[in-house]
Amino acid sequence: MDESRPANFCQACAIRNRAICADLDEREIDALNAIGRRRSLIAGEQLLWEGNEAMLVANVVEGVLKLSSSTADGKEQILGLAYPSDFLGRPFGETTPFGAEALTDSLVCVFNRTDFDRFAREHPRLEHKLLERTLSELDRTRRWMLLLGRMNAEQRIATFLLDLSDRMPERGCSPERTAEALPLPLSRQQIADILGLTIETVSRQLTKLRASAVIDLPSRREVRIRDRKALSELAG
Amino acid sequence: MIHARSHPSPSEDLLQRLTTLLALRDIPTRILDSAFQSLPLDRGSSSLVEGEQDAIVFVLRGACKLVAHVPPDREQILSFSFEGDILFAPADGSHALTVVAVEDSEVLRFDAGVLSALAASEPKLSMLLLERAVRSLGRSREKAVALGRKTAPERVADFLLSMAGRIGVQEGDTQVLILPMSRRDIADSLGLTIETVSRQFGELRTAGLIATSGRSQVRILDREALHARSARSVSAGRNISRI
Repeated sequence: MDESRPANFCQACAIRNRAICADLDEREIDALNAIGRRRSLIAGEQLLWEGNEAMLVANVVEGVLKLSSSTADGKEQILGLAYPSDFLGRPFGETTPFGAEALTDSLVCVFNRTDFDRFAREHPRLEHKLLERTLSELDRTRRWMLLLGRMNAEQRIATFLLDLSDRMPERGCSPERTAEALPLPLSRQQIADILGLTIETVSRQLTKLRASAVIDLPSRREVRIRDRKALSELAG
Repeated sequence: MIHARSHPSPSEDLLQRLTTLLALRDIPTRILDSAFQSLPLDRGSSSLVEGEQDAIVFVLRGACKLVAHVPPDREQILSFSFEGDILFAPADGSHALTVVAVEDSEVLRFDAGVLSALAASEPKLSMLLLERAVRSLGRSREKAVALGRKTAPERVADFLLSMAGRIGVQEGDTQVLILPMSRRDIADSLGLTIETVSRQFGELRTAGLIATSGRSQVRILDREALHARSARSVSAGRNISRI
């Protein structure tokens, strides 16, 4: 774990225009910067523990994290993935409602929750962004609910790939997003765990999508969406 | 199928009721006046919320369900909303969403963009929306865990506890719920069949955890045992008291 606070890390931040701080002016950014710090996480490192006192909230700057919750007898359910510019943690609450673990090496900017809450109350523009974020997170969680409750294996895989391509930040400036291979930040086993499928089913479904020319799999850790329309139809 | 009737402006009275219900009395109702649509919904009638704009729906009276339609012919009830609740319905969801009244209801529908712009100058309204949205998100996550990992008995116990927290009335040592939704709605919400839901209610009765009367009344006799049976996650039901 590496913690540092250079003069103002917000100035060169890659997600500055997409994260909850996007609407803040320079003075507000400076004030927010003063209560935050950057933190690197290595793959497998836990950032938030479910049920713990909510000490911090964070923005994802780089990497992918998984959010999960466990039943009383310890069965874990993954609630979704957090990508760059996503906000993690529960503002205005005393306990953390889910665990967050880095799936890849990641960079986050973290805030002490009480500092952050105070800042949000004093800065309506941030509070407003937070509302927008919460509503899109609600939308995503409901879709996740549909996936877990009502979708078959094919629909699950298709939904996952579409979500991944929508949410992974663009690399380079290729205008043809469909032609570009997306880094697949997760192993087959991780995908299986996330979607509530077996690893065999995940592999079989991916192979099937490749055989029907909907996707391409240039390597174990890359996927290229060749026919987005077909994939959307499969997702239902 | 849209049965909702839309009235342009018996507004003052409705908005008074809304601000009273939400404890937002110091917000001048006139700022909300132009932004809403009043929709009386008879039991079973529906209103398509998906459209050009995200909607924020306030339930003034009654109870509604938010239903998602999954091709080819499956439905998932995403949430139930009761008097005083705020229902957030996005426009750009990939699945058609419908709000259906499970009993005679009255709702106010706001365009989310307009309401959120108003909230920018009304910190209390803004805070209320944020807190309710966070609460809805928490419930949705709990539900995702239930659908993904819980057994039928756990889901039904979890459902009853959640309903007790929202619409339960304390009577001595017990809590009484009047469930406005049908067994089929409960089944569609929990991803179970009606038969399984009915069997689980039967088992909970036999075990002395609940007592039922008619189709809709449930009395929770042993909350602790119900909790143990629900496999609720460590964070479930926390954070609620603050908001």
